[in-house]
Amino acid sequence: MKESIHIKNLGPIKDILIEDIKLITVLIGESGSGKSTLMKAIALFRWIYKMHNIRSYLKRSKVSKSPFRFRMDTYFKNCGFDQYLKYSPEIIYTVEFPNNKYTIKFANNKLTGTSDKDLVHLADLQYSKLSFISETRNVIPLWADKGASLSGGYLGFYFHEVYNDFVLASESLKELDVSYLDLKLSVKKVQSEKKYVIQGKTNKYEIDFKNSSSGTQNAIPVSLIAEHFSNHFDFEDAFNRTLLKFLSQTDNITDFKPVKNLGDIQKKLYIHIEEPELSLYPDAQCELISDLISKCFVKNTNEIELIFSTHSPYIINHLNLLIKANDSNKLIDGAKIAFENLAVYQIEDGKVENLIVQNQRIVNTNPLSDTINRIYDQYAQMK
Amino acid sequence: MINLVAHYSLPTPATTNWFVQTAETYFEVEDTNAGEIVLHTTRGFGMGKFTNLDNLDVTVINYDKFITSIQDEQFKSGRQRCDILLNSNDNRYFVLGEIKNRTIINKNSRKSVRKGAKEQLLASLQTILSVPEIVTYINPKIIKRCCYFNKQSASPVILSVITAFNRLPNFYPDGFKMSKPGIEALGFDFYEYTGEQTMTLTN
Repeated sequence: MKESIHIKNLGPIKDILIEDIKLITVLIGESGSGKSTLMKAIALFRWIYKMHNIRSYLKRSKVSKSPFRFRMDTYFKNCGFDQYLKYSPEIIYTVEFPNNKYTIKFANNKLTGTSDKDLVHLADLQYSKLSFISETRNVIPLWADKGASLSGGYLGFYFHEVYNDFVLASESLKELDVSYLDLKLSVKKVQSEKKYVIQGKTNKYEIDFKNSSSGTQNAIPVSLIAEHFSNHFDFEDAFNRTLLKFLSQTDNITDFKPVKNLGDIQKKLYIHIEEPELSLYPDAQCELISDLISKCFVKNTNEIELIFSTHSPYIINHLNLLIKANDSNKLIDGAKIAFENLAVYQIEDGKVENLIVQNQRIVNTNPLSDTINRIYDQYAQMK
Repeated sequence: MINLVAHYSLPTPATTNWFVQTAETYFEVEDTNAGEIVLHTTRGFGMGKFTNLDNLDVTVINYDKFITSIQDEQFKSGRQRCDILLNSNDNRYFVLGEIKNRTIINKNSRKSVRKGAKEQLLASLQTILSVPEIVTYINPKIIKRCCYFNKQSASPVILSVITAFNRLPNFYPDGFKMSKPGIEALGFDFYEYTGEQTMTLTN
């Protein structure tokens, strides 16, 4: 399966084409360059394609009435894209299989490629789960602690997405070893309420998650959700719940003749992370990435695709170490990256530049060394 | 270059001192603060580094100086130009080069120097490829490249930060071939040379 996206005139994005979204995609660029916009657009169209697959499955299983409609105005509002509509954005998302190609297009304020004539073929049907770990994740500890008293509060679509995934993950994982921070997360039940506790491993201490360091509060949701999706996510349960939800909305449920079992359908998990390194010391940034790569691509039982944005020169350089580890058949903190599975893009002036070096098996990290060079150029000029 | 002047109907440039030639086995190209191109055979004096073990006859054109010296303000206005053109006097090499001069820092711009370099290379390529005679001359060349020579900075000796942040090029002495669709569409490759990375000329 090959996935591509072409985006024009979407906020900071002028014209970006990614012809083959790799298993691991990393985005760098200045603040406001469009990294999050690109990641959100990819996540949105992956979600639309997921829903198109569900509709295709139901239609092919004799459920004639469509259980839902796509509402682009709502989705664009959730993504914060609604103010971009006046600039006539265009997004073309394509998924290609050996024999078939599916194109979902948003242009002239209209979504195409999701009608009955565009249904996904039986052989290509896929069931997927998406997670978007936004930079607002640092509110999770406080929200989890005060959640009951804040019911009805709304902190934006992406916060609640990551919060829901965090809660889901903490249902299946009662403990999480976070070795790169030398601590452990425990999920305890106190008077029928969940309590998140951080325990030091070397220095024995125990504090509430909400009182832990900002680096801990940012990193733990990343590691917990990654561990949950890579090894504990129950596809069958999620698939059945999805079917039940939509079948309950149709009158002729007796017509439903499942055309395929879940076991025969391709499954995929997509994780999108905004700046995994937030509030972390450089060493911990690298170890977090190793931990993430290890969870998603070395110790995983579910098939994962990962996109993250970063401002960290340490992380981009660390990717080269993980490529070298793979080429040398070794692991760095349990992680390695196959060069062919990695893409690193710099977003600048609304366009992307591929930072993969074409005549070596490395990522060009020079763009993130420019700042340090500039500092000492100016230093050298002072008499 | 005379064809370029004729093609754009420009007056003859005021300068005649706009190219240097060499067949040295190793040379570095320096873009001086005065805008002159100087070749060095001793390491560490230039920004663009070349090995030339087959002693190819090479001409290095000071393209920036050439364009700057043309007395036609309308032609020059807003026209981006790279620093050098390097031509081997056989059918092997035609290279456009942008040499980063670390002593000139644009304090008004936080924009990436890399980006500016790539834009200058592409714009220069478009200018010269508009001249049919130059296209005819370049077409048979086997290696056609746009190169960004990115000299490394130095930090106070006691600090290792600059060498630490710029270690990667030490592992790969031949330069990085990067994707640049705008340049590739014109039949050229884009290469980036940092620090001690050296362009190798062979016959």
